[in-house]
Amino acid sequence: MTASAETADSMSKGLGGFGSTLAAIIPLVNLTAPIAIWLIANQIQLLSLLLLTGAYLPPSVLKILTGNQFTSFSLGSIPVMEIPVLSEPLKILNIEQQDTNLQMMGLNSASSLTSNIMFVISILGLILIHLLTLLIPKCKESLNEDKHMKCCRKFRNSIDSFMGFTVYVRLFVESFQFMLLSSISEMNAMRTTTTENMVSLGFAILVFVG
Amino acid sequence: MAGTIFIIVMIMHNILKLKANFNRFYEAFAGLKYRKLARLYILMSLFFRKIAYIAIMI
Repeated sequence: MTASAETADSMSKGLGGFGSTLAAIIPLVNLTAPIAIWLIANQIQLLSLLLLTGAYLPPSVLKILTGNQFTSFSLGSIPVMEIPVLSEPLKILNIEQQDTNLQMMGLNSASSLTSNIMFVISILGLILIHLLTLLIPKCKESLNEDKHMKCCRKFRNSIDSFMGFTVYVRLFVESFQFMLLSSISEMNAMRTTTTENMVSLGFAILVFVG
Repeated sequence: MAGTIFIIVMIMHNILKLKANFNRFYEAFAGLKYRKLARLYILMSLFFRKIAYIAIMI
């Protein structure tokens, strides 16, 4: 390993170590757990942006970064391009991903619109589930309610509690990492040759600003 | 070059965040003065984060 590679190795490992130490110290200071989750997510997100700098990254650091795919909301395993309704517009907007490291992170398409379409579908699905639960009538007199109503209320409460922690917190933290990576990678490439590229770039800027 | 700037800026961002959280801790004992300082440190850390984004794009 050359001297510059060793420096890059130690610097990137140092950043990771510093971030994780920070994530360990701050909750001790504030005595709250959500800050720790937020800090860890933040550090992983920032470390994943190292791939976009174009700097030399040692294999061990690359292994850690690409292993973060587990914590990002990419859903790259779902073949979105083969869904009948979505396939046509997505094929038009799709930009082929050249960077293998980003591909390993779950960013299969260089277009942020195509990469985040599963996130948009998930949000729409969640809205649909909540609308369906609204169909269950509210029972005001809890003491006199019959067995059916009790069952409905129990179902509704269980959906709400399940959504709170298992879905919303996880969805937010995981998409927080993936969306920034996809938007910055597209803004970094700055493709403005075709109208489709411009639309995708506009979406990336919207995500970045949002 | 971009990688070096990115790492330096991110370390600065983390240090400022740590300082902001320590000030939040002091606030519990010593009052509003530290809350203002914590906000200032958070704003500064966010500023460094934006510099990191610019470093990537350049």
